[in-house]
Amino acid sequence: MPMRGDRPNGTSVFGGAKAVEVIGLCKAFGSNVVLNGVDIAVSEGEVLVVIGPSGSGKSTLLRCIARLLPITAGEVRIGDQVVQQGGAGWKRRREITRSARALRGEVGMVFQQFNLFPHKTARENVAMGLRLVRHASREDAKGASVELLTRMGLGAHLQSYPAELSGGQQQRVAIARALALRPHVMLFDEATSALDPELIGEVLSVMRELARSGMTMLVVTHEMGFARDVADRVIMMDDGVVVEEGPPSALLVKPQHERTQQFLHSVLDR
Amino acid sequence: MAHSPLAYQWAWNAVFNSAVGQLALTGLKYTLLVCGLSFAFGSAMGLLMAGLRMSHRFPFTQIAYVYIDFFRTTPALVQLIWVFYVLPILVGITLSPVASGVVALSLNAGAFFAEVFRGGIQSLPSGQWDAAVVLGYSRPATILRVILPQGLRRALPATANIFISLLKDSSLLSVIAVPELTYQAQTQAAQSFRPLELYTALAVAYFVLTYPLSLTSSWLERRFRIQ
Repeated sequence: MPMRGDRPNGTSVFGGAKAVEVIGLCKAFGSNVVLNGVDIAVSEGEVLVVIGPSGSGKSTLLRCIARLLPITAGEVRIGDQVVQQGGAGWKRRREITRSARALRGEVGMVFQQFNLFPHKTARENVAMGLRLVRHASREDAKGASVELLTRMGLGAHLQSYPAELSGGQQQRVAIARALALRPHVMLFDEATSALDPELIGEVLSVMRELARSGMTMLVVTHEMGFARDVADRVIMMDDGVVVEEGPPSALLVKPQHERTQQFLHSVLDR
Repeated sequence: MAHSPLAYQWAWNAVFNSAVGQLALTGLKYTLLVCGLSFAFGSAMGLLMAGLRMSHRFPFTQIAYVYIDFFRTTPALVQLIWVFYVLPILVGITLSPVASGVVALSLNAGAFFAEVFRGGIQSLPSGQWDAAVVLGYSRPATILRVILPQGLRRALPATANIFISLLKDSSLLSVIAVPELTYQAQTQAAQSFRPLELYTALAVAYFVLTYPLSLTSSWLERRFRIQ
């Protein structure tokens, strides 16, 4: 599993800084406040799982971190670089956008709907990023994409189009596509929620491998088993705020906050 | 005495003779030339205008709105006459009939192309943009490699319909003496006094030109629905 492959083991990528830092994040769509002051810090190599009911702002949180949405207030940092600043003037925003270009591909994201490019084969989906963003040569990109997909168990499907693949296979291609750019942070937005039950396992095992190899991961999921086994820390969100956080052995087993208890009750005891 | 259509003495030799055949060939050449050029320029214009329309930037979107609304709602004939007669007076450039015809048809088709392209592009799931942004693709790369290949492909069936319209509208160019099919039929009818045969043949000619296109359009539609 390709990881911080370009750095020898033990070297820190972010120096002493947190991999991802979210400070006082607020996000409103017009008058609808979706995130109401969220503070999160993810250390390098940490796996943070975010759980919570729908509408709690989990996906919006990830999208703000990935710079897919502008934020209303607060700050988002990757390492020690500010990538989002709420309420900034247009000059500052332009400055941030410019400096964020250096971080292209640094934060990988995997979506619930896969979002593969349907007009390209699996291999092309993975190789395209390397050519367009890392300016790799055609041969290098081809080699890297073949290697990545083979490690995911998709060596037989290199020339397949997304429509010819199962959901689990498509999502693994999507993960490979993100990993091709050698990110140091991976965001997973309900990566298995659109999959048939029997296909969930193959994607979760890829995510488990990734976590084991030391990738910094921020995972929004309903898969409590995954959270229990893989997470270093679990965060419960509801109504745009962090309700509770702690190690899975504490939060998932003996939740302190009432809303966490309610949520876990509805999810686990069925 | 009542005349039944069957009592009319059809004289098809007025149509199927070598002189008329030559004229028809010339007419066909001009029809196809005008349609081909207008299709090319019109689609370029349409792509530009669709881009402006979707740009979210003030002056650009307004320009696109005005252009698209104007050329879609005014009659092609009026646009043609305006380009041929009025534009030279305003701007001082005189265009040949063929050039005027191509300009007018291109502007007209461009408005329809713009809407068709916009429809194709906007029908793409927003996740395509999200994926490209997160992967760090530049905006031009996203548009060229992800959005347009898919969006334009979706617009293909409607594009075939625009070409059919162009073929039909090319007949309007007869009023500014472009020697396309309709003009040839008109001048020949004036000489040989056989309007029935000539105009029937003309109608059949247009049908023969457009029908394969409409079949192609249906085929394209079916092909993309399955995908």
